[in-house]
Amino acid sequence: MSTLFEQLGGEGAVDAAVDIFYRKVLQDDRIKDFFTDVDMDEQINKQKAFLTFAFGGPNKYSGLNMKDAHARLVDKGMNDSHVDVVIELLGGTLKELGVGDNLIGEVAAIAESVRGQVLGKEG
Amino acid sequence: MGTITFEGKEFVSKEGETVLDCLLRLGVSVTNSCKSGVCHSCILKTTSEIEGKSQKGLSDSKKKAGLFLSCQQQVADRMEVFSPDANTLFIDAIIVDQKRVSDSVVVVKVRPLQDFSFTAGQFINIVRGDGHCRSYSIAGRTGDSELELHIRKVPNGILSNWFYDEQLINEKIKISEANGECSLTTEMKGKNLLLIGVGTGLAPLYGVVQDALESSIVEKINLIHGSFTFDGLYYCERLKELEQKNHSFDYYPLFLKGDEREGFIKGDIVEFVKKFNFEASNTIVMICGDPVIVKSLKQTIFLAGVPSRSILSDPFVSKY
Repeated sequence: MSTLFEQLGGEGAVDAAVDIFYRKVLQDDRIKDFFTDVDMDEQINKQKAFLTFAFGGPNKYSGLNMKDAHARLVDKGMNDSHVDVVIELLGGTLKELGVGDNLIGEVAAIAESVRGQVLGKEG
Repeated sequence: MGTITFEGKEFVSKEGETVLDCLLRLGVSVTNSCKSGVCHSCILKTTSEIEGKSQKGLSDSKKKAGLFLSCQQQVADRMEVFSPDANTLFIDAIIVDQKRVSDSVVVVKVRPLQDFSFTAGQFINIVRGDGHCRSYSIAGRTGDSELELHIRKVPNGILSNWFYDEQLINEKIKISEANGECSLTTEMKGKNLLLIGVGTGLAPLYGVVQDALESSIVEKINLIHGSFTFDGLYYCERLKELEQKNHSFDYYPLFLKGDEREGFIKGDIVEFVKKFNFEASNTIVMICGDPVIVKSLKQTIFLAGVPSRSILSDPFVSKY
């Protein structure tokens, strides 16, 4: 049985998804203000790390942990509703790429698993 | 907190401090300029383990040799740091020409005195005799024996004012090897080019335009040059001439402040780019100049549908 990451298409899928996903994020009035200020190259790298993680791939995310990395955004008012939007846009991205609903559900569940850490509620 | 051993002495860092900041704070002279990981002027050498981002953009041979960007590396527990062999990083050069082309821009030509190679669009670091360092883009075509630089005088710009104000013919300087991503590659064959330069961000793009017209690698070339005032649109005559001679090349000179002028566009460059009509999926975009505008233009171009890997940039980052 292949892993979720393999079923989605591995690194190639991440590369295909990152531009679509990031474009959605930058254009969504509900969350774009958290992202428009950040340099694009830096942001693309972060989005790739996030997508790789959510796709069940090797977690290469280095540097700060989820809580510290998002503390600045929580200070700016990021809350559950914004995490909902990110997960929604992630699903929309995968749908555009022709991924089936069951796999999208698995991806959403992985993203969901770090909600507490991202919002600074868990260590 | 950590400790750096450098040239036989120990230096204790503060929490979260970079190797560069720690050494500078404790009185060690280290060449540096942008402090943002872009210019590569603060390269040092280490045998200790380092973070990936402090070797970003370095060649494999440099990475292997333990060279790293000291402005990007936080001091780890214990680090052994050395000066790199200066001869491998800098070569001698001489200033051979100097001409003011606007009320704030001077065009300087530099002749390397040792082997030197570059690709149009890249930049070099220039070090003056007293150690002051700054990055400048090369405005020439690949293979030029003299390096043309466009230097804009800025308030508190130690080197830019020196270049603009002093007589410098025959002055000796040091230059680094060439760096930067805004160059033509064979992978761009058959694509279109959209070049956007702000201020002296024109310099690297002027080189790229010349390379592109000569090599015919790309199809259509659009160059947008933005300036605060009309006077900052230096080189507009020769670019208009180039436009007339080459039907594959279009030039859009644009300024923000002052009276309207025939043959020039008055307006904000980001707004102009938002409305610019081009084939997003088949275009390589290069954006150079002021870092704040470059950041904003990159997002604009990306949202216009250009794939992120097709967007190259050279933000002119400086801390001075």
